[in-house]
Amino acid sequence: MAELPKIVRQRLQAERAAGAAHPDANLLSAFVERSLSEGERTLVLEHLARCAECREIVMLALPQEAEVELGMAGVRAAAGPLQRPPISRWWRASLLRWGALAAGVVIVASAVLVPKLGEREMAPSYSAREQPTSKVAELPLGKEVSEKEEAKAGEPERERAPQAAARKSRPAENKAAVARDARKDLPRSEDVRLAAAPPAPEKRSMADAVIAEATPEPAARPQSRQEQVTVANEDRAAPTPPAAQMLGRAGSLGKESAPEHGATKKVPGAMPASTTHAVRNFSGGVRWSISANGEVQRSLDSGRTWEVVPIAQGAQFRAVLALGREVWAGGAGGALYHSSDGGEHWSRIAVHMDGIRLSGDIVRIEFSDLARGIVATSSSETWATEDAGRTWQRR
Amino acid sequence: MSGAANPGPQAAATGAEPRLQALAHELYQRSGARELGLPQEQFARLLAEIGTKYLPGESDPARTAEFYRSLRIEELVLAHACAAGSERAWEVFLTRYRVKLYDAAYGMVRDEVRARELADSLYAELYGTETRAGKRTSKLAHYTGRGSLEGWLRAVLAQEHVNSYRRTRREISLEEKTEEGVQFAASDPQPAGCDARLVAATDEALAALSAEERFILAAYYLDGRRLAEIGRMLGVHESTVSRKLERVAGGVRKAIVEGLLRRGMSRAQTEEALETDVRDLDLDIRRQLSQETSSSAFLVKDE
Repeated sequence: MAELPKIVRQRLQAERAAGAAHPDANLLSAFVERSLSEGERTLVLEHLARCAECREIVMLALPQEAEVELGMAGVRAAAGPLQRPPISRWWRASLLRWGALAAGVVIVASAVLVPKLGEREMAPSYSAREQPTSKVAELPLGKEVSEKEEAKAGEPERERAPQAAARKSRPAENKAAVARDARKDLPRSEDVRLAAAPPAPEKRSMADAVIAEATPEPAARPQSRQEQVTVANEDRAAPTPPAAQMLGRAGSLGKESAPEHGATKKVPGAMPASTTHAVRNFSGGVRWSISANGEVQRSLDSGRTWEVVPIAQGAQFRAVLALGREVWAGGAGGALYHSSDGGEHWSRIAVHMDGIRLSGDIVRIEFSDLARGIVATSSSETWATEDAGRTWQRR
Repeated sequence: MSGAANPGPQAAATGAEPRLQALAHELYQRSGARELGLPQEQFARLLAEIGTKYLPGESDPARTAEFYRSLRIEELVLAHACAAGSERAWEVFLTRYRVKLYDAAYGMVRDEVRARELADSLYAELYGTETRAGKRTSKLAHYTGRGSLEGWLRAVLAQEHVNSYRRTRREISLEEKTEEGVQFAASDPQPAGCDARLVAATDEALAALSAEERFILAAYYLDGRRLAEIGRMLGVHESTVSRKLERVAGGVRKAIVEGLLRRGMSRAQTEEALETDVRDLDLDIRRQLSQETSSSAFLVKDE
């Protein structure tokens, strides 16, 4: 960066916002969220340019960069807040040094071991370990991705997989063909488990399900893997919006109908300050949250970008819960919506029993498994279902 | 940034302007204020107060309506219902913001105990510990819905943190400074031992910059902020900040040189003045830095 003459720094520092009052927290937060009018924004900027304290407050008031940590806040909250172990600079520096050392060892080991693996790949015992379906989960499904891109996307994964050497024993088989074969088998959940997916817990506590990260159910795992691989593709290739990728995948899965209220709206860049409610759930690379405007949001790239998911015109949402592909969203006026395809299509769920309907705003949704769950309202009502929302009981 | 009463926003409350009255009714319905126990009259009064604060003298009903529609009505109602002591509102508030508030506090101080203390002290203020005329006053009553409630809470928390930091350093808090009227010390007219022409040319060059450009310069060169941080504050990408900074820094230097040339210096003298300044002011800068509170000291960053 260009060096600034020190006289400029000195005169900048000497400048003070003479006579002006500090903007209050309302204006500073609105400035951060870019919800001020142009005139007001200029006034606030004028002040900030001269006031180090207010610049500091604006900096501190910015939402945290790592929204993952916000998501993890729910976990901490369940066991008592603020249980994050502080990481010292020394520890970080050590981590970096040892990490570099470990990387060096891995590189050297690879250089030594790879030729030996090449020899062993011809051995029948190793060939027997080949799992034809193991590559299934490593490849994207979207029909909008060309065969070539699919093959490229699968390549790094294949190199890492233990079956890599076995695959080399089929030299005539080109990568595109591998990808085609793989796609045929993709929906099988057993295949996906082979791709080193962590086993989902049998049953989670209610608190975990609501405000913590939602570990996907095994059946939901294929989608997560697809999304991760597709996102990796996007990083290398042209920056296709994740929303488009998602819609493309839905099409390739044979779901023809478009979302009820049009395509999702992409929010570019990092999670904007105006839409920074805590990340409620994430499954693989997919995360769900409620924006400050009461819209349901989804991120396909671990929280880097967010898109508004249109569910119902004018609905104000307050709670969202994702269990793999099953997504529940509730909000003002007892509105409860459910999607069983990761948010592509939504249906409204009527919560009632013996002619009594749920009243108030839904502020909490908790499901211990795909069928059993509760919704709680701002009017302290709790409704429970044991059949995935078909019938409800008021508690 | 407050002003005198204006007829536009007040009309929304009193019903003098039918369109605004209808809007106030619509916003009331949409806000969920009834469920939180906030009467319509109080809601209308609240809108009028906010309008008076931010739209002084505005008489155009369309602009007033647009302003009211831009407010975070639901969060505004929630905050003021909490301030009014609604248990239901507090339940919703705690459900939504408790964890976020602790998390934001931790993000600021990076220490569990201090974060808890900071958040708890804010909670006390949000609940209302001070009593005025026998009534508990909650800080939430100051929220006006211009930005999100979460953003406002973070800003209030940041103010609290800065003040707390100042208190521990035996410095004067921002409020105390404001009350004492000494929050802004007069700027140093001319640093000792510096050519008056250089100071004048520099001030002229800085005065020609836009507010945003001065902000970027100050944030980068005085506060030591990273480009990405400045970008987040301005809502632009760091590459945009980098380009602007490069352009502004180069432009300022050029403008100073031109200013010095206009004031009768030769080109060689201007270069010498800038270079001399670098050497001579070195000590002065150190002195200033040691006196001024380093802004980055408030924030413990992980590096």
